[in-house]
Formats: sequence, C-alpha cells, structure tokens
Amino acid sequence: MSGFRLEKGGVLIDRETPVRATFDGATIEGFSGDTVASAHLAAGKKLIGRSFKLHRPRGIMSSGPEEANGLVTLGDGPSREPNLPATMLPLQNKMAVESQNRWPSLDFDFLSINQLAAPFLSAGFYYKTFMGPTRKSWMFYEHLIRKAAGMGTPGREADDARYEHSYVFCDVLVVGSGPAGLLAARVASQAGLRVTLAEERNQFGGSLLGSNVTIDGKTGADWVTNELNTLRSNKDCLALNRTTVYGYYDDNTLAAVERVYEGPAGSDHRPRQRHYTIRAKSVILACGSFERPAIFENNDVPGVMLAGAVRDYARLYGVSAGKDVVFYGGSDKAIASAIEAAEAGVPVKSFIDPRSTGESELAAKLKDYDIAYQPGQGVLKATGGKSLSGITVAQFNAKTGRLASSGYQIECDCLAVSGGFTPAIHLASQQGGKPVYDEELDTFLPGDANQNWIAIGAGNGTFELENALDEALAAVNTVAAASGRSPSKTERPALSGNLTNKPKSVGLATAAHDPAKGKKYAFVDMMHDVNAADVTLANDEGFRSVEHLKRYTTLGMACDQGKTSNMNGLALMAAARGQSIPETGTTRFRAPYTPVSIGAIAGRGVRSHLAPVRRTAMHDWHVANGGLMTPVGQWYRPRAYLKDGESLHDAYTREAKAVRNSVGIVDVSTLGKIDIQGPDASTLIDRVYANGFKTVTPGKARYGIMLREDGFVYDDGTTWRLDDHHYLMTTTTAHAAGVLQMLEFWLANDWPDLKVRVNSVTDQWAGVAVAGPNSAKLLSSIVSGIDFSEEELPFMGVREGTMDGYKVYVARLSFSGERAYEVYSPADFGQAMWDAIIEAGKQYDIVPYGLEAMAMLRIEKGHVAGAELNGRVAIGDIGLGRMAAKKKAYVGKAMAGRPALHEEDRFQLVGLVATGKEALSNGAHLVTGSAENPGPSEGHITSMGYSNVKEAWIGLGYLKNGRNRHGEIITVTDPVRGKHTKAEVTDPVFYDPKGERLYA
Amino acid sequence: MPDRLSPLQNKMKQGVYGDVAAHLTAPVALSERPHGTLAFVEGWPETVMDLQTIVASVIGVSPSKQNGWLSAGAKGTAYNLGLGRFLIRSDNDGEFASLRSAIDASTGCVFDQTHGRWCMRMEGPAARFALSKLVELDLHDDNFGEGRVTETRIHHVPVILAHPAKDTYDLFVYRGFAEDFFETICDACLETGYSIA
Repeated sequence: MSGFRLEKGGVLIDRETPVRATFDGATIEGFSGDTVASAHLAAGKKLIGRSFKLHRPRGIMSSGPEEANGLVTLGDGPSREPNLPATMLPLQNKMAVESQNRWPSLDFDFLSINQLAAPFLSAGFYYKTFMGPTRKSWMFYEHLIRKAAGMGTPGREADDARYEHSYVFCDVLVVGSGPAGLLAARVASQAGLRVTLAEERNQFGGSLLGSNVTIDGKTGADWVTNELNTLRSNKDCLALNRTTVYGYYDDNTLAAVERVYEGPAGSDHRPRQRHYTIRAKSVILACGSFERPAIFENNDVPGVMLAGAVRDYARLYGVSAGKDVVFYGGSDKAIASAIEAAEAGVPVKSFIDPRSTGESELAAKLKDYDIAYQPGQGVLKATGGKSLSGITVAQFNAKTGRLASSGYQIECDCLAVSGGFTPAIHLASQQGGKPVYDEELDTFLPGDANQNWIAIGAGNGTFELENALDEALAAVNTVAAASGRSPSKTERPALSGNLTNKPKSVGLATAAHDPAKGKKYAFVDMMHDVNAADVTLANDEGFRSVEHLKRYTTLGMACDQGKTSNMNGLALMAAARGQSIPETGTTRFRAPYTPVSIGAIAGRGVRSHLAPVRRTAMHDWHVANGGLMTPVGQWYRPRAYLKDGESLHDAYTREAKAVRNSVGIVDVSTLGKIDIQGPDASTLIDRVYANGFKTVTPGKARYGIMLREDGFVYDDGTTWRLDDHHYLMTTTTAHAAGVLQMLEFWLANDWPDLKVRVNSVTDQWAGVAVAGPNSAKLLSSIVSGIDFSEEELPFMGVREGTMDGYKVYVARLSFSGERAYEVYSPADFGQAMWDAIIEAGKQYDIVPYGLEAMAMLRIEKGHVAGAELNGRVAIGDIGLGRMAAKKKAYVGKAMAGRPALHEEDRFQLVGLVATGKEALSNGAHLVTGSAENPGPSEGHITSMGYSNVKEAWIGLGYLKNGRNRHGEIITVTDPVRGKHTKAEVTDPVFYDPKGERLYA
Repeated sequence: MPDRLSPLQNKMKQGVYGDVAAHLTAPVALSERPHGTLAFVEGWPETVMDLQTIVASVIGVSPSKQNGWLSAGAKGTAYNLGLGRFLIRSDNDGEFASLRSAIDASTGCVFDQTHGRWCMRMEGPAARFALSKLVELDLHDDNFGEGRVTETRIHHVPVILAHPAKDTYDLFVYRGFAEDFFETICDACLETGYSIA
C-alpha cells in the first residue's frame, strides 16, 4: 500500500491517467475514474466538511448518493454549485472543490464553538429561543442564524451553463443498474421492449462491482460491461448513468436528471444537466438499499464510515479508507464486506459483532484474512477530533439489546459500521401504498403499487442475489405479458462467490443510546445534526407522530430524505415510546429523492427563451425606424417612434397631433382575428355578444361586447360580416386566444348542433389602422376596387379590394375618433402594404404612431381597452348597458342581471382631468379628503396621458357612482410613487362627443 | 404584385453551427418550406366524405381516412388532423381559391392559412433527438412513424408536426412566432449541430 492508495485494484480507475484537482485550494491527486471522495481518502484525508448546526468535523461516510457529511461546493463564479456529495462527483482535472459551512478554514472553523452551546441547540431550539422579546425579533435573529448554520452557497452570478429538457417514452423504465436491474433491462430489451435504464451513480453495476461474486463465470465488472453492450446494441434502448430518477408522478410519469458534466460551462453546447420527463408503460424499481449507520457516541468522527463504503473504496477505487481498520456490524452481509475489503488489501484487524458465537455463517472465514472476530460486543463510543483515533468496545447484552456502560479501548483510524440495510423505497412510496414493515429484515418494504410498477432486488427487501435475479426475470415476464409479448426464456445466470447476503442485523440504533444520559453526540441524521437525544426529546415534548418527529427535529429532511436516518430514527422513537417500529410507523416519501437544481427544472426556458416572442410582419420596420418596442403579451409593439432628441412624451404627443390634423398609421396586426364560417355562423355570433348581430348585413361590421358566463365583461371588438356564412371577428390583443378557446368550447360542448367552425387567422392578416382626416384620400390613391366615398363605404362598412395585386380588406372603423380605416393584407404582404401607405402618405405628412399615441387618442374618445376591461366590470359600469339586448339570449345574460351589478355605487367609468400641471398616474387611487388625510379609496385611474386637445393630463378611471359625480374635484393619491394631485371628474368622452370627426 | 416576405427573410444564415464535430451523425438540416397554399378544410359530420372527394379533385390525393396521417399527392399534401379537419398544403398558390369555390357552406369551411403559418423542415438522423428536447410526444417510429401528423406544442407555441419521410419532420407554426420558433429549434440542435443550406 502506498499511502492510502492500494497497490492494485480499483475497477473504476485508470491508473495510467492521473488527474489533478484542488480541494480548498490545495492540490488533490487521483486517477481518472476517481470521485472527489475516493481521491480525498486516497490522500489520507479524513476531514471533508463541517456539520450543519454544530460545525462538528465530518468525514466521508458513504460511497453513494446517501452521503450526509461530504457535501462540497464545486467551482466559482456563475457555475458555482453547492451541496454536491463528494461521493458522486467525478474527479476532473482543474476541478476546484471547496468544503462548506466553515470559516475561516476547514481545519479551524470559528463556529465550531457552537459545540459548546450544543445543550441549547436541541430540536426545536429555534422555536423556543427566538420568540422574543418582540414579534419582530426573528427578523434580527434570522440573519445571524443563517450565517451560522447551513450548507454551501451558490454563485451570485447567473449560471451560464445550459440545462435542457428531454422527453423519453418507453415500454419499461428500469431504475437502478445493480445486478437485478441490469439483468431486467437486458432481458426486457431482448424481449422486444423499449427499455430505458437509469442509474444514479457514475457507473453501472451497483453492488456487484464491489463484491467478489462472479456471474456467468465473469467478474462483476465484466458481466456488467457485457450486459450493457447487449442493451446498447438495441437502438431502441437508452442506458443512462449519472441519471437520478427523483420523482414518480401520476400516469406512470417519472422525472429524472442526468448530470451530463460537472463544473464550468465549456465551449460546446452540451447541457450541464438534462432533465427527463419519462413516460413509461411499466416501471421496474431496482433501487437497491442503503446501509444504516450505527448510533453511538461520537459516531460522526471522521473515519467512521459505512462498511459497504469501505469495501467499495477498496474494490472500486483501490483506496483503503484507513491503515488500521475495524469493522462493526451485526449481519453476515457486513462480514462479507469486511472480507471483500480485506481481499482488496484493506488492513482489517477485527470484526466486532454483537451476535453471539455461532450465529454467523461467515465469521469462520474471517480468520483466513487475519481478521479477529469479536462476537457478543459492540461499539460504545468513538474517540477522536478531526479523525478517528479509537473506539470503546463493550459487551452486548442480547436480552436487553444494550451495551454495557463501559468497555475497553481499541485503537483504529477507520471504523466500518453496518447497522443493517434499508431498501430504497422512495419512488415506490411516492406512488404506492403504505410501506410494509418486514420484521425479519427489520425494515419497511414497498407497499401496494398505485401505478404500474414492480419492485425487485434489495429495494424490495430481496437481498439474496439469486432471488433478486429471479425477481428480475419474473418482473420482465410480467411486463412482457402486459404488452402482449412472449415470456423470456432467459435463465438466471450462474453465481459464485460470497453469496451470503443476509442483511438481518442486530439493532444498532438503540444499543449504545441511553436516553437517561442525555446528549452524547450520537447522531441519527448527520446532515442536520439530529442526534438520538433529539428524538427522545421530541417524544418527551409530545411530537410522537413520525410526521411530527420529522418536522420538529428535521430528521430526514432536505438532501438526506431519510436515506440513512429514517430507520434509526424510527427505532429510537419506537424505543422511546415503548412500542414496535411498525406501531410507530414511517413517513411517506415525497419527490425529490435527491436535490434537483433549479437550472434543470427551468431547462432552456431562461433569458431570451423564457417565453416565446411574437412579431408582426412589420416588426423589423418598427425597430429600424426608432420604434421603442415593448412586450404586449407575447407580441412586441412600438410605444412610439422616437426621433433624435425626443422623449417618449414628445414623441407620442407629436404622433397623436398628426393623427388629429392629417393622418397616421399604426400596426394593429396583434388584434385577435377569428375566421367564423358555416350556415349557423350568425347564430353563434349572436349568442356570444351581448348586443344583437342578426341585423348585420354582408359588407358591414359591428362593435360587440362579450361577457363571461358570470356576467362580467370579457372582451370587445368588431365583427365583420364578409358574406352570408362568413364572419371575421376581431378581439383585443390580450384575449385573442381566450375568445377562440371559449368559442371552441361552446361549439364542442354546448352547441354541437351548430354548423360553425372557427379558426384563428390572427397571423394570416397583417393589419394597420390609417386614421385622420386625410385617411380616405390617402387610401383611395393606392387601394383598387374600393370607392372610399361616404356613400359607398360608410362608417362600419367593410370592403374587399387590392393593393398592388394582392387582396386587402378595408373596414371603416375608428378607435381614434377620427375618420379611419383598418386595412388587412395577407401577412407576407404586410410590409409591402405598410411601405405603400407610408409612401403614399408622404404628401399628407403621415406619421407612424405607437401604443402611447393610440392610447391617448382612444382615451380622448373614452373608448375602453384592456386596462378598463379588468374582469370586474359589468357592462353598465362602462356606460354601455343600453347596448345589451333585452330579448335575445346571450352568454352571461342571466348573471349580468344580478342586482349587485346594477347598484348605483358601483365603480363607474369616468374621465379625469388633472387640475394642475402634474401628470396623473395609472393605478393611483381616487379619494375624498386631502393627500395628507385621505378617505378610503373610491376608485382608481386605469389609463392616462397628456391630451393635446385638452392641453392637460387626462385619464380614464373607475369611481364609485362616478356618473353622478361629474364636476367634482377629487384627490388622486399614489402613495407607491409618492405623488398626490387633484383631478376633476368628467364625462369619459373628452373629444368630439357627437362623433362628427368620423365623417371629416 | 410584390414578393411575399417570409418572416425569416434574411434571417436564416447559410452555414453549419453547433457541435457537429462531436457527433458522428450529420448535422440536422434546417430549411424553410414555403407553400403556395395552406388551408384548413373542415366539414360537417355528414359531409366529410364529400370533402375528401373535393380535396382529391384539387390536389390529386384524398386525405387519409385515419386521423393523424398525411397523404401526399401530385399537387399537394393533405393532413388529417381529426374530426373532419384537414390541413391542405400545396406549392401552388391557386389551390385556396380552388378549394374555396368547390366547397360551399353546406359542405364545409375553408380557412386560408397561407400566410398564417410558417413551415420549416428538419432533416437528418439527429432530428428526432433534437425534437425530443421540445416535443412531449413519443416520436418513435412505432408511434409516430413516416406519414404521421399531429398537433402539439413546442416552447408554449402550438405546432403541427408532420413526419413525411425518414428522419424528416415538417413543423407548421403561427407566422408571428416563426422567428422565435426557429431560434428555439436551432438552439435544440446545437448539441448535435445543424446546417442551413
């Protein structure tokens, strides 16, 4: 042995490829295939972290995802990622790893002083200690507590790595690639099933790689390679390592994350992590098991490890976890681990077994490896600070299940413990019945399946390899039969080696714990510093339900998810309550099984990919011509076209003035457009609008108000009758999809008898509004086939014409209050249409105008828009109550008749004119009284802007009983922005109340 | 008459992008697939057969009687989207008018989507892998083999997805989303590389 790296062995490492990384700035060397944990151990280092609350020194405990101590932070800057188990982190060149939760250094951690305060840091101490003196005291304490306790910290910069999503469909998902899972996956693939195999560790093979079992005459590693090659030769099968299935949801949908690479983003485009949504017809859960720690004083001293982990580090990575190693366990499976570790070169000097002489079948083999067998004894305590120096061994009383209170000292630098085995039933529990306690195995097993899954192997409590493989074959046949395939004729592979896998262990949770002696640093949940005394305390204070125990003590929360702590915690609580473990019960496991990064959940839905962007046909023109673009739903629209030196206010008032004086053009392509066709189209439209539409003739449009079924206003717009059975309905931009959805719903569910079909043509037509007194003259010069005279194209008329050979619809409508036309062209000609109108409009000094000017023009006219149609408005509130039909039925009519929607003191639409020079604010409240002493809110401003025609700041808003308060001066208060002013309440129509400008 | 202006006009830059060298498969070939006519044809329950006959007379092939299947003819392709609803695509720009004149209200409806939807094509052995990042559907040949069509969603946007030939997918998306959609597809293809001819 050279240092802690064994001279030979290590099926996962390539000794020809050295790797250099750093740990807390110091170089750490290893080989390709090492994990950070194995390299750390190979370097002879025990200390790797500090505990969550007490800042106790901690060392590597396991070799897998259950690691509770060796949580590290990887990288810095944008890619910095905390709380990664060093046991799962492959060692890579230039990798920079940091320990966590220590200051100023891992060796000397100032906050290890917390250990002196340990008696006060018991379960629930937050709740007990930080209650006062005032209700706000917690705000003070929280900052300090968060500084003092916790885990790693993420980077402050935005993560620059890619995270992607992927959707996987398969006949069978196999979770776990131990011998049972791998056999199941291979046989299922050969049976013609589409198989996805997910293995959370870096390597496939599970426990097989670390054991000395041969299978089909091959070493475990060779058999695994062979099975994988066979599986992967089937192009319909997917074998994913480093992929954790963390959640099991309805309809056999599972969620998994593949850690494609670790560390900073490279120059390529691989995702750092790939999130899979897996829809599997069947699932085979071959999730294996976790070895339990033993509970005794100082069981967290660096050097105390799980027995299987000590074996794994030797056989997988060629690392001895110590130079003076003692094993401690109460099962033959633990003895097998000791033998396999010794075979690999680990200097194991003794095996301490609480069982009596003769209870073990394997113990006799220990002497072949010069391992002293010490039956009838147990570990009472460990000694050491930053690394283990020895243990105290005491006699075990099989009748009481307790160790004697004193014993003798054994020197060692590594204690490999095995307190039994806990099947990983997390996924089964998420979609299964209550876990079932197995007395023989002293653990909970999966309950009944709520979904189409089968548990096999150690995860099902079947630890004997032969039986586990038989279960795998049976599971495949069940799945194959369910999909109509013939059963597999594959036979169980031949096995040899240490097949003694009996995991039944003498309980090591309570053996050394004496509740009467109080706190002795006997930890149950290493991750949260929950010790045996905390469990006893929870019982004493009445938190006896396992769910309450979990929340009160934090046992099994966060990263741990009960992997190593659950059964020991239950055993302690059961002992405290004087009942059995099944009587005590267990918690239900919930997703995620292991932590999932936010990046993996977000996938590519970040930054510019956060939401889709929708562009009109003229979008690029707007951008190129000074358009100040703003999102409007998914669309981007120009607020105004800024000329050099212009402010937004300057620009929109200029644009609005041009419309009133001559002509302007605005892109209205974003308005929803729904093509409605069929013999019953008129009937449909008449039913969905509150006002009548049956009298609309072809070539005419009508403004309509649409209610929701609850009687409130939903949307408005014009609908054009193109021919007898063909309409074009326009909606607001915001409700385009919603209105279409409602129409489709009603046609499919309420009125299937109507012969009508609807189709969104929002994107088919580019639309512009040409508004102003010169609009008709302008359009008549470039549109063919339409007479723009008052007689031939009256207000609300719709005509079809052409421009430069392409078809256009022209509708004489007005949102601005001026004579105006909406012109729609096929979208691919939208830019051509726009260009033609701009060119022809030069003689009239045409201006393009944006949302701000459009809003100002419609505010001056008192037209409502999205800001006013806020979902709480009755048709009478906006002054359109008389439009609602009395005789016909329409959607929302019944509920619109509710008395409450007609009360006088409802919020009613009013106009507002600022009495001073200060602008009004959207959202400002309308109150009586002064700004200093305001009364309650009686309404608010919905839209505002500077009006050229009123030469004042004006707005629309809702005011209680507003129609009867015209002329009243009211206080406008905007405490959020710190603005307070006054405004006169007026009629909402500020401009041309008689509508004469429509005919100018 | 001016030329039609594609929403991706001057925005699809010829070249090869992404991690092509890292993969053995050819990059995904991305291209715009312009159409002369794109229209939804929808009938009433009792007229679907008549519609199929009319469509066949216009584009030379009758829509498949099976939902979710496409049928390609000499003058166009018909996509059966279910419930008597067909998407008709043709390179010719006159087919909408032909359909319109052949189908009256008693037989069904014809909705022009020639400008309303933009179509792109993804080709190559890695196309399915790239799509699997975006489409929540089983794209395996057993489920969505050649000749299949479906309506789905990519990046929150409704998409008609067709599989007209081996390793070839056509995607129809609302025109307004086209540029953003194309960027999304390109992004999904970066890992395996993509090319624009």
